[in-house]
Amino acid sequence: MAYPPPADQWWGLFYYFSTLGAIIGGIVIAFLVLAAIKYRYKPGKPEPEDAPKPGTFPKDRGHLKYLFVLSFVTLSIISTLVVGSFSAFHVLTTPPDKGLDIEVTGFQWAWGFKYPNGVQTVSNLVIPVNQTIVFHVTSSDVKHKFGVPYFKTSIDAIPGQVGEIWIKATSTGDYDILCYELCGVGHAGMIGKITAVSQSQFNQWLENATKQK
Amino acid sequence: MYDMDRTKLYVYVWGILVAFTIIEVITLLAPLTHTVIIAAVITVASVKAIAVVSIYQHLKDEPNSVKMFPLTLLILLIVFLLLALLIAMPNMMVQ
Amino acid sequence: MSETFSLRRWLTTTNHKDVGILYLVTSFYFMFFAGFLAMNFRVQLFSPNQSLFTASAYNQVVTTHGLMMILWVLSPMGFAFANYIVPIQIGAKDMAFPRLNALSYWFYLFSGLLLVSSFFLPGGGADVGWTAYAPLSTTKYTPQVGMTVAAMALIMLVASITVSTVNFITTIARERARGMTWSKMPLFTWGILYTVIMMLFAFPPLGAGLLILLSDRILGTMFFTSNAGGALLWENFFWFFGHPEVYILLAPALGILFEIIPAFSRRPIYGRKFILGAFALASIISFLVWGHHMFATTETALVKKIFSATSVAISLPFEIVTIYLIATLLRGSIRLSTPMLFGLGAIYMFIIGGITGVFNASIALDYQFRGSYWVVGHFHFVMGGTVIFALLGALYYWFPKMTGRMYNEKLGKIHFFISAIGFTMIYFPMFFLFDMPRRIFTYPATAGWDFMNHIATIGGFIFGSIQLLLLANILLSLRRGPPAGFNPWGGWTLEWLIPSPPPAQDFEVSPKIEREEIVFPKGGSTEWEDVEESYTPWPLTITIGTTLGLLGVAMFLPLAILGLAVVLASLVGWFRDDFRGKFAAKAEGMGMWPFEKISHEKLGMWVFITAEMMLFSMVVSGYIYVRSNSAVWPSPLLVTNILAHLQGGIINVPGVGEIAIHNIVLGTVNTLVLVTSSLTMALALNAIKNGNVRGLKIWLLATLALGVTFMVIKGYEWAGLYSEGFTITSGLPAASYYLTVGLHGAHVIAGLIAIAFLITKAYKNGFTKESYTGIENTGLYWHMVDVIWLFLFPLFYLL
Repeated sequence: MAYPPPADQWWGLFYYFSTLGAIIGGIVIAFLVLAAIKYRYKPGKPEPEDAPKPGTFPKDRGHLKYLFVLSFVTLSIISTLVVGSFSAFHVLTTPPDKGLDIEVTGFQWAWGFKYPNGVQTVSNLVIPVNQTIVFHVTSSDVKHKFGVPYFKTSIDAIPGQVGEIWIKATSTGDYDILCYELCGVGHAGMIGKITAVSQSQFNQWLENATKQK
Repeated sequence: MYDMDRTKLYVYVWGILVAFTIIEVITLLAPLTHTVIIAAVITVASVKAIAVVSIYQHLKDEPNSVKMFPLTLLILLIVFLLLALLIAMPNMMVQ
Repeated sequence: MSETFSLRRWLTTTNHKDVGILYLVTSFYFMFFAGFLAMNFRVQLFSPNQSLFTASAYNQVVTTHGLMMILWVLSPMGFAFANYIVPIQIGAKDMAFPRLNALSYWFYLFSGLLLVSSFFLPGGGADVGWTAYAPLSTTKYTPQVGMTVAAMALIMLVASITVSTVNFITTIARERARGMTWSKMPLFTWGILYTVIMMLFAFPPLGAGLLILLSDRILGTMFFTSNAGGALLWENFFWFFGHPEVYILLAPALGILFEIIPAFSRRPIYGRKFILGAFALASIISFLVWGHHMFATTETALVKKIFSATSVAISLPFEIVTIYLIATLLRGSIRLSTPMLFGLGAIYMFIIGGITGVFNASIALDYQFRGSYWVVGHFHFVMGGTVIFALLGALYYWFPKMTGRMYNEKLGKIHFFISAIGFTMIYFPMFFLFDMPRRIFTYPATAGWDFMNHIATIGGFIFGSIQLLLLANILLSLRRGPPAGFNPWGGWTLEWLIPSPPPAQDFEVSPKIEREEIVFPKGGSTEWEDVEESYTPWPLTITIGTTLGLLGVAMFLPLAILGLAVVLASLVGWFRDDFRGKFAAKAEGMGMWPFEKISHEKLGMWVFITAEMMLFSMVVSGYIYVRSNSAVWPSPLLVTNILAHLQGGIINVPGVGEIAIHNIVLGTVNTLVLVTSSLTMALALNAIKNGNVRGLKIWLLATLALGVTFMVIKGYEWAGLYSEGFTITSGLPAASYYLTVGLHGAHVIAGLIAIAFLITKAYKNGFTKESYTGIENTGLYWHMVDVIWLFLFPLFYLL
């Protein structure tokens, strides 16, 4: 399944993190479990020489060189993570082209949309496929979070501030808009819908909507 | 004698505190840019604060382990305050 | 009076072990309460479109669950063990301030009860999530008084924690057995030390944020509803506290693991020094990562990238700690008893929680994760899994010490395995629910989230119900458990060298450290006074008064006056308490290793002053924040001919409009009055150090007079401002002025009350050349109030 931009970036990064996380996590958990089993007490097994004795301070142990090795390995792994996520972040916040600007206003408890020509809708947004849509998101009351989970992007809707994200639908259909920040009793029901249609259908819809205005 | 020395020191510090307070107000009248005034006034206030902390609160006579903690924090906070004020400057004054 | 079931004992105790038990029982009660709430909403979420709860009830339940688990369960349960174990581990007979310790506990209990009670108030309790994001948490959107009461409960908890912080830092710094250097201090005590140091810097910001929130809710200011402050101001306050808080919860848990893992693998901890270093590094970085909770806000990309990098970086020290804990197991002879199983379980949870945490540190991934169930899964693995499992391990580990009896090993092991399976079943499925928003009370059937929620709810019931087995094990073992003896686990620390349960005084003879050995010197000559068991009612009555006062301010003002009266009366009682042979108090002036030159009280006061400095700098940061976000801000700097306007007033500035500036003359006079009062206070201390009681009286009276003058001028100034219509609700410049200067004024009044106490005591000849602790410490406080004003004066009057 091909993901539409910018979700392709997100999924790529997510798979990278997940693979690495699963491998490292698996190794460390295996290390933990195997160590606990291998060195468990069995009848007749003698105590280690440096076993804690009541009232005696235990000896310090550990080598600086292992600390360096461990830090070096870790830092090289996490630096790839930082580089990967910074580049994905750049894509998520930079629309590929100018696209269609939509002003989004969250309020208790729905989303309001405004097209460049002034047409306004509530909860339902019609967009053309294969075109970049740039959302300028704000709120008129409390904090919300405008999320379009299919496109794996979202942004806070904060009163007095405008946040920007973009999406580009590659196939026609309906996509959910959800609120990801608790905003009062209507939070769960603050669900909107994006309908992606072909360019010609979109033009026609916009024309009708403009007339009705 | 010990007593008198100490009393003298306290009165000197008080003199400095009073003088520096007047200086702060006078700085306001000087034909300087806002940035310089803000930096100057906060610096003078910080000197006063450090004087009170080290002499009246006799932090300078405490063991190092006790002295370091509040003094480092105070200086850090002063630096943050100056930075915050100076960074926020463009927005704080109109036009 | 050491009968187990004496009501008087438990209400008036100051013994650190009794207080520890009280903390333990109370935090368990709150844990079962908050856990029961969680099981309720797991039922609601079992399948789509359920209707057990309305949205409002659901939000209240979720909010209370979060607040309670984080602040009233995890931290206090760690401090239950800290109270019980830390003084013993360092060889002390009690905490540095036993009465303050009791006060911390009562504040903690009553703040929790206040939170619970807010549920039953008209309109319900807080329903805004534990993060209480503004502006949702302001009166405009959450009018119910329950929210105000919940915020007050939080302030009370902040007070409790500040007092604890002062107490623990002083105790650990001053009360260690002779010869116990920092490098020999047990690691659990180290964990607690890191915790309290982080608390010292993290909780005042929460206090400041809550004060401003309450001022918005009660006094009608607009910090969090205006766009100059608003949502981002609260988030910065909250997460500057909130992220270190995560490590504050974690540090005691790691401290517990550092005790359990070596004890049961029969080997010394691997890389003790490196672990402590990594821990210190993590504590510092923990204050530099708060912005990762704001990746989805409108902060600039650069800020987000910096916070992303620091957040990824903090995984390094924790990874070192984890690996070294596992390395400790190698070549050991591992006893897989219940505490060890829980310890290993906590490490397993920490690995999962830590790795998923790195995902959250990535800004790009966070664009989807923030506000989704992924985050819920992640932080429950860290806070629920790691911390709770470590705490349960600690309970099994120290149960024999606290009660003198062994628990049932078989029940303990069953408890562990079913808990670990149940817990993983609840939270692992949430990693597949990264599309599902948090805190929704129901979800549509079309979303496809049913299956994972089924598993989570079933896991929740497995995990929740098996905790009853723990309860049964405790109750059964308390009565029937076989005697434990001194040292059932072969631990090396001090608590295992004394009887189980320990006697009221912990040690007959103060222990000493000679080379690598802990010894109890023969002959019994010690520098400790013989302490009788000590009981005092004042911590409890002060707490009751404070609770009444807070409820009064929220709902019914006369109640507040009653509360204030109770507090004042109790304070008089508190200061008249007879110390002789009580409260494990040491004779003043006695040279005590390792801080020969500084007394308990002075060190405690300095720690407290640090907390106050943090509180005021946070309030001032809020002021600078709203000021820098405002288009116009009145400032004398804007006035060209300021010499003509030194008396303040409303001035028309060309190009700006009318601005109101403060009376610079009055401000200057007040500054001079306050610095002079600092001089007289210093002279008062100087007088009594030289045995001059008459001088002491004169200088104290002068200080009192100057302090009163300061407040009178302030009152005159405020009356003038109010008559000109410059009130607390007339905009952010006015609100930040009244709030900050008013908070300072409250500190002045507190100082004046203390000075009045000193004067009465001086007239009763309560101070001598050798005994002047009260004068010195009140002086330290008074000078701090002065120092704060030295900054408020230029900030509000000049710039």
